[in-house]
Amino acid sequence: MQAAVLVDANEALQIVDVNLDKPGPKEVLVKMAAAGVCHSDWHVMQGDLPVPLPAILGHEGAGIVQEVGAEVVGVKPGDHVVLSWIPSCGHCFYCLKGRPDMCDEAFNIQLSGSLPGHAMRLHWAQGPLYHYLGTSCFAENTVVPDTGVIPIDAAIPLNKAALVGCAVTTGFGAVVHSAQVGPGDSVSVIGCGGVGLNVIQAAKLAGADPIIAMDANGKKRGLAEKFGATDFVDAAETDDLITPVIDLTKGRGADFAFEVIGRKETIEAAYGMVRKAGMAVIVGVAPPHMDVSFNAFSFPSQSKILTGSWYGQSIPRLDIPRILGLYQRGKLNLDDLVTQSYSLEHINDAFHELTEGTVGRGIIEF
Amino acid sequence: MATYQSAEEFIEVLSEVADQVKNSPAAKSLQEASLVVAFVYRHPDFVVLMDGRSPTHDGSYMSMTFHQDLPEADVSFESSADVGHQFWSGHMDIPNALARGQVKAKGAITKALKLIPLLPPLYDVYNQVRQKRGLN
Repeated sequence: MQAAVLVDANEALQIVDVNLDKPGPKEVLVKMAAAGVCHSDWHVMQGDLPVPLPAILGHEGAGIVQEVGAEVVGVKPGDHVVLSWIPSCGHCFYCLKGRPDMCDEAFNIQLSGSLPGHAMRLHWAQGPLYHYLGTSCFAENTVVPDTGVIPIDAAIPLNKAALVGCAVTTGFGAVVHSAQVGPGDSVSVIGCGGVGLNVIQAAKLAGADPIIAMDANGKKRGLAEKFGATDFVDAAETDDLITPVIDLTKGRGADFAFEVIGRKETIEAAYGMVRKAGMAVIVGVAPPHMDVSFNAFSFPSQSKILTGSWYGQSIPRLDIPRILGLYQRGKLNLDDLVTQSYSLEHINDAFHELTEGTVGRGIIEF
Repeated sequence: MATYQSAEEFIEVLSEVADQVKNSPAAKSLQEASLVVAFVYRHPDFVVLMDGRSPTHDGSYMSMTFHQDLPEADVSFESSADVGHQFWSGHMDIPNALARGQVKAKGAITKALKLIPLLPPLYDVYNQVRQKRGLN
């Protein structure tokens, strides 16, 4: 089968023939239908997020189950599934505390480049290939843990469902789970890419007002407004993102700020633009070596909450069907998220256009 | 859109402000405190140095000079030039701006903050200079 392999950081992806083992007892072989092109993959390609290489990237996908291991009970061949890059174990401290997004086993999978039990199912002529986030869906087929497949209604187009594997769930969950935004709450969103747009539309669904979207690409204004932004700040025109938010929130600052880029300046600005006792939620994934700084006196005196949101603090088995149900009933817009689709052969073009900021969400269709 | 399109434009305004306030009570307090205060601006990038310690050529209480790099100062306030404009126009709550991180201060901040009550007349001068130049 064909797959996009990242051999080393700062290189283009190589489209090559690779081999895929049969699934182990608790694994599932999925024929991919679609995979989203996400900034997190790009960060890996740039060497900003260290993962074992060579690897097959791709963590936001949907497809059809082809084969299941002997002990798999949740899905069967023919089922339509969304991949989850947090295949939580269900029995560690965090899973038992209701925080599968923090699952120790899933975290180890993310770092190790293997499947549970150190299983490696991907190979090419030069030897084994590492898995990426337990998904590796920039490939025609993939083998994933059974905890990493979420069955969905077969009526849902898989090229829309794929985005729920990361961008939609991350943005939706940041609003619904991490921040718990309510009607009339003011929200600011820094970054209007695939995740940011979903923060915006989840905030709208929660009844937030105003919803202040910010992006350094002024062309994102239209998309941001389509997904529910009431105001747009072109960050290319000022490096003071805080004052516009203060001005638009009666001089107080936003109840909730979401940073969806992962840059020092914007993380600091997110904290700064929140009102006293408000909450800044950092969703953007920064390189592990990056530090940020905040005014220390403000922690007690302004009592803001600064937190992060990893995969939207979601419980994929509950949230992915929930989100897709909202899509089917017209409450969430997935159709306008995908602005460009590509074949696997053109995946490097997809990443180029992602970095140019010319697309909402690009998708690879198999 | 940024308030100032170039450092030169901002510097011209501040130079005129400095001429008008160099003998003001605020300048006198700066001299009495023997303080050198720097404002480090980004976009456009430049540094304003208000020096109340070094003797001035005309006997005024302070001098204002402009630099590309940060000279030695007792206290520095770093911000975007847009936020700097808010400060000079009197539209900034300084403690809040520090807490929000819009302004990052280093050095003898307590000494510098003592001068805040003396600043409103400077704001008026700044706003008048901008108005005269058709910048409001």
